Amino acid sequence: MKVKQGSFLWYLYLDKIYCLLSLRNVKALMEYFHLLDAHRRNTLNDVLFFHFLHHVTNMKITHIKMIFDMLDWTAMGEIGFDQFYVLVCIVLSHQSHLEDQFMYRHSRPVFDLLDLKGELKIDGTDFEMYRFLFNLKKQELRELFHDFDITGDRLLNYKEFKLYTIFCTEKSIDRKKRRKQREEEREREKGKDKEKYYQHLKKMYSTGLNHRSRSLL
Amino acid sequence: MEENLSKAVPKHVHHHRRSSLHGDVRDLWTTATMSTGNVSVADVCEDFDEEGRTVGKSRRYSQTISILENLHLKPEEIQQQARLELELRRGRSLERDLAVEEEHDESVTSLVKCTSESSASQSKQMPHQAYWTEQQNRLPLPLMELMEKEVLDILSKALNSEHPHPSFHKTSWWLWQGLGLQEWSFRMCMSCQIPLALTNIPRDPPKLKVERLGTGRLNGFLHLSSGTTDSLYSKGREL
Repeated sequence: MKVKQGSFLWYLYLDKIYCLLSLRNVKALMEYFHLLDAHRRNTLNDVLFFHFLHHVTNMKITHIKMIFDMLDWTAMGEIGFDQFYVLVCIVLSHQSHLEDQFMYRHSRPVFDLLDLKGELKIDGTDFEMYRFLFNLKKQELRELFHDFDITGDRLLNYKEFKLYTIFCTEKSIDRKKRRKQREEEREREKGKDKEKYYQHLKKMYSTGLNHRSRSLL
Repeated sequence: MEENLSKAVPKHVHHHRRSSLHGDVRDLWTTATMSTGNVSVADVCEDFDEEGRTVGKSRRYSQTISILENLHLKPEEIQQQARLELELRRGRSLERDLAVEEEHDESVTSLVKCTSESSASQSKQMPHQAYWTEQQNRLPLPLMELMEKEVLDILSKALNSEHPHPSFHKTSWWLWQGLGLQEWSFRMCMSCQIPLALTNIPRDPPKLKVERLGTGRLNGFLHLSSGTTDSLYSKGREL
């Protein structure tokens, strides 16, 4: 799921800590929503929604329909600006690789969206249908249910889900730290290699000079 | 500037360029940075005077650098251009101020100097007002045009995807294809039953969630954009 380069959403950016748009971005997004709202109902129907996502992202048609069903929880056939804003934040978090942070910061709304049946619990099959939104792999999802389904009912309640988000963010922080350390080590090694190379060159030069001077003598 | 804006965005831009431009894209939103916070409001915002009141509606948007142009520039060049523009605008606004006051009273040139000095001192007292005013009230011109162009594309695709109403006259249908955004939306309002009428694709209705899971939670989500992070969790606990 990628935002097309040069599209309007491509120029928006999420705050990296709170995973939200700035006030200015929200204002621009509202203008955009009102322009899309051809019927002046402060909503987007399924046709407009489909063409918007199809134009701006590379999502599959089935995924777009699934997202609309998820956001249209009142089954009115249209979504308002609130839901539109959530969708844009999810898409941008995916674009900026902030999915874990987003789920941690907004665990309640995400849980409510994934709770398709309204039972205050997330079903494994439902979560698997929508894992593309948060860039979760199948294996990760299975581990999630295995490790965090404390009650053992094969469903995740909010507390279990929250624990999972906390764990995910810590894991991603560790991963970033390790990546930084690896990069620093690589740079140090590069630096060492360069020094060795220069020293080698110096030696070669000096030995070459010595040979010359001896031959002259 | 309009010619440059009309050019299509190049399709293949390298990822590293996008990542390097991501920080620069934020600079393109405004030319008044925090470091230039001591600039007076009038220097940066053409529609506002020193006290933040609107002066005129001659220009809605600032003359920011075209985003499309900047895709071809290096980050350092972008920053240089932004600084140059800011200085030019400062010079223009100062000239304008001087010209207006000279028309009123030519003999008070010393007063003009005094007022400019006092405005500078006022701006020192409100260092970031220009920045926040611009942040909250204006949209950069190239982005607005990009937005409108994109929405027009989306709406025309949506219109083409739907079959026209059988009673709709063919000739007028094809006339719509060439309409701009405003005319298009106006005509859509006039006859809302046509193609983009509310459609519910016939299928099994999804199960309705409990009513309490209405917009209440997502209203809390929206509030976070203004910085109040506690509202979401408190609302969640209440419900």
